[in-house]
Amino acid sequence: MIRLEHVTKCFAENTAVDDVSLEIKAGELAILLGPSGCGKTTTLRSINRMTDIDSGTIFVDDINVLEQQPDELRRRIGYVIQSIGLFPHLTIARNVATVPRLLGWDAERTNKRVNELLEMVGLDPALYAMKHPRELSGGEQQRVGVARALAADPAVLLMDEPFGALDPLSRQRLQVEFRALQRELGTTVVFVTHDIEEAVLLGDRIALMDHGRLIQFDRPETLWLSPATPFVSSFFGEEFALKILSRHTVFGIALERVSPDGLAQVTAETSLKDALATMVSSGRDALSVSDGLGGSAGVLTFSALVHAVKE
Amino acid sequence: MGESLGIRRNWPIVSLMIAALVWMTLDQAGFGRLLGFLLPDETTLLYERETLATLMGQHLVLAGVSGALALVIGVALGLMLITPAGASFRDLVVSIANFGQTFPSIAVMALLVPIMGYGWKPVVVALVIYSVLPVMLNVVAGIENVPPAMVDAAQGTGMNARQRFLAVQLPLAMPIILGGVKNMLVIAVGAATLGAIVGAGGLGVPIMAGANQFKPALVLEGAIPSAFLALIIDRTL
Amino acid sequence: MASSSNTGTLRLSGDQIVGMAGALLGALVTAVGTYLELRPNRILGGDSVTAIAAFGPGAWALLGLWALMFAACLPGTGRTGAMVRGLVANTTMVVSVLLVARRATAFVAQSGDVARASLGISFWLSLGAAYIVIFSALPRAKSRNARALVSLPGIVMIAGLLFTGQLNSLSILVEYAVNADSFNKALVQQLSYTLGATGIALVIGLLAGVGAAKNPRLEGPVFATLNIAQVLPSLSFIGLLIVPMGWLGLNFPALKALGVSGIGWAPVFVVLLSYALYPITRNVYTSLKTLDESITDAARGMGMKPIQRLFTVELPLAFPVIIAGVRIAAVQTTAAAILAALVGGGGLGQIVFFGVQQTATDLILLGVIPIVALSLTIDASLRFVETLVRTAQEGGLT
Repeated sequence: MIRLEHVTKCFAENTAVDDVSLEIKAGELAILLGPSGCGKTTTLRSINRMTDIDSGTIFVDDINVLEQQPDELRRRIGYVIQSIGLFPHLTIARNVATVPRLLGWDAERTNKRVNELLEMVGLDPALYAMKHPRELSGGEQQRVGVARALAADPAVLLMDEPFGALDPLSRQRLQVEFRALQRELGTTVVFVTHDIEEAVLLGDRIALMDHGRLIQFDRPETLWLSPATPFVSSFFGEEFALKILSRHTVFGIALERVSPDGLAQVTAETSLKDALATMVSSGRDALSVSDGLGGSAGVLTFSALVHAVKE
Repeated sequence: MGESLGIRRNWPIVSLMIAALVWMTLDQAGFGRLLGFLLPDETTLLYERETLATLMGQHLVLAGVSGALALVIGVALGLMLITPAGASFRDLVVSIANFGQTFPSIAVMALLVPIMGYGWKPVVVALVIYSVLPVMLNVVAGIENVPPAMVDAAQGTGMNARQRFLAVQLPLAMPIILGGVKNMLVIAVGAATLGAIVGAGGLGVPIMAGANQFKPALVLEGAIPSAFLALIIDRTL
Repeated sequence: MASSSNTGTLRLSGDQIVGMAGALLGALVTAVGTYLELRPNRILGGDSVTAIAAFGPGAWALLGLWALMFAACLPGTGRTGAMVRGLVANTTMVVSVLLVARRATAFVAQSGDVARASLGISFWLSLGAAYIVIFSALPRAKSRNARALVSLPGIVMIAGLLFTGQLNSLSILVEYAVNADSFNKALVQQLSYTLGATGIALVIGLLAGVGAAKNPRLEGPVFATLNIAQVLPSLSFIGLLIVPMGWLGLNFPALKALGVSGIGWAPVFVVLLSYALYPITRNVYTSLKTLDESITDAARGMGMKPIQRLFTVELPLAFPVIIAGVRIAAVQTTAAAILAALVGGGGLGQIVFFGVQQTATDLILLGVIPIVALSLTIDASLRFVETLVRTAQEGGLT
């Protein structure tokens, strides 16, 4: 879907992106992660040619982006940035309609699409369409930002720390909702962040970068279990295991058929991280898992949890 | 004005302008030949009743006296406006200053003539009125622009109000205040040209005489040195 | 509001101090100084009379109004006091104009048609004092309507008196009646200078400002040129243009047909245009340069072409600042156009310089007052447009 081959970009003296090659599959949510100045944003911006690369090639859908007219290219690729960049003088509806209007859609089709998108990102069109950006909270504004990027139903969405400026609570909600939306739409997403927790929670695969180089591009579990270099394990740190737990739920782990009496209860949808936390706070090494009908489906033990993750 | 977008101080050019201005003033015959070369059809090349040196002297005295008065009054008023009691009047003063913008400076001179008669008096009064504003407003802006944290820090080291003002606020405000003084001088030197209209002399005299008698050389005799003077002040300060 | 301090004594707030100063000035100039000048004819000197001498009991009424305004500034009067002194100031303006007009009519009726009643410095200062009182009341008027109520009725009623001929016996309006034709022509010329120079400067300024903002190589030359034009003294600048404009008029018949020559409107117009260009170009340039980078980045990222970005995002966002530049340019141009009269370019300056030659203050004022009124009207209307656009862009009142 998106293929970078030997991409290199220098700014004056320093090499921002150094011979990066990676391939992102259709429908995948790929994270570009790394310390600040590692080249992740430059890599992202080279895909829609906001930054022009010095050497290498980039393909989107097997089409070489360097051979495309940049504006045409960008209209087919959604783009969301941390500072959102909504147009303050236009209504929410007009903001979302930006790309459809550029593409020359008729008014009826555009309006329909705008309403659909606002609903999709959880904003009631009747309440929000005619408002101006400054009347919205930061979280609401970024929902609009996502809606605007998705307007022309792009196959690819580029996101540069989209939730970085939000308060922790709205940030968490947007992460979860965005993940669900992305799965539903099947959009290919390239997502830049420096937040390990966010990367592990959202990413199908994580491309870890450092000093312009791609260190490793793999599922978080692989990065954890078989890090390519010592930098990988030191970057993610000891807590990596706990973060991995947040990616998985109780569902699918073999439960033991013992008495659940006196055990704290969780559901099959509870993340393993939360399950572990519940064990610690209840002071027991086992949990009862509800069957959704008021009873218990079985008991999750500590050792089952630990082994499940390793597999 | 005030902003200096695109200004680069080019000392060789400024020195050349100064040299040219001194030459025009001192070697009037030579300047006359230059005007004759530029305007070969003209017979009257120079204003006959006064030498350029005299006119230049009048011009500099007009602008200088008004500028000095404006500096003293402007700084005093500016300092009054930053005292707690004066602060109440600040918005009013700014509003009156904006009103003054709509009032042509010649109109002030013109209205003073029936009261003060023709001559230098109405010109000096008008020049002072118009030159006080940039000085006063920049004193206020300069002091207000000092970051409160610095004043706070100074207070924290035990400076009293007077020491804070002299050691912290005033030095930090200086660049803005000097910017105001420069603007003031450019305005004063420019507006002094208008003094000729109400009989105060200066470099406006040959311009007015030339315009009235359709003698372009006379116009240039006044216009060139006064333009150089304004540009030199703008570029050197 | 916080009219009493914690020590228990009543304290004056800033607006009350300003209001008191205004009221004291008003009372002072009502009691002393030339309020009216009553002369047997246009040339001869006459009696300089104070308001008290001119109006008798009417002046005591005026003094009472000023005292009322002073009282409405006392500590503890708060917002009610502010509204009261604002409205009383408006009333006082109208009353003093009515008194002056009535006295002038009586004087002319008694002393014959050539007699003149001129407004004196104290009268003008009392209008200024009323303005100060109104200004002191404005910060306390919370709604737009309240502000309009405090600032407009006096002006509107005086304008009404003026246009219905109630003030016609005042010397300044006698001057108008005598010079009506040349005045009207001069007013149209003055307006043409302002509108023409500002209009053309807006077009050129937009191009130059956008050019300088988009192309760093243009920035230096554009502003260096405009800055020189800005620094040149107006009279010298006109003088420097007399020769080249004359040459253009002589050598290009098309320009000559337009009236371009060394003397007349052409050199003045070029000077006014150059003055107007600087604030407009500067504001276009800085507003484009200081746009929030994330907004332009987002516009680019969505595939807007440079020209689309300019017209749908950048210029609309810069619009209020550009309007502010136009406002500054228009006000400067209106004032500077007075110089046109010096080189035969017409305009209200003609009336002013005519008045200077005859040392006739009323004739000078007949030229100056419309210039000031024109500037203030332009200033107020463009400020209004600026706020309208700003509020519309930001989604209503926030």
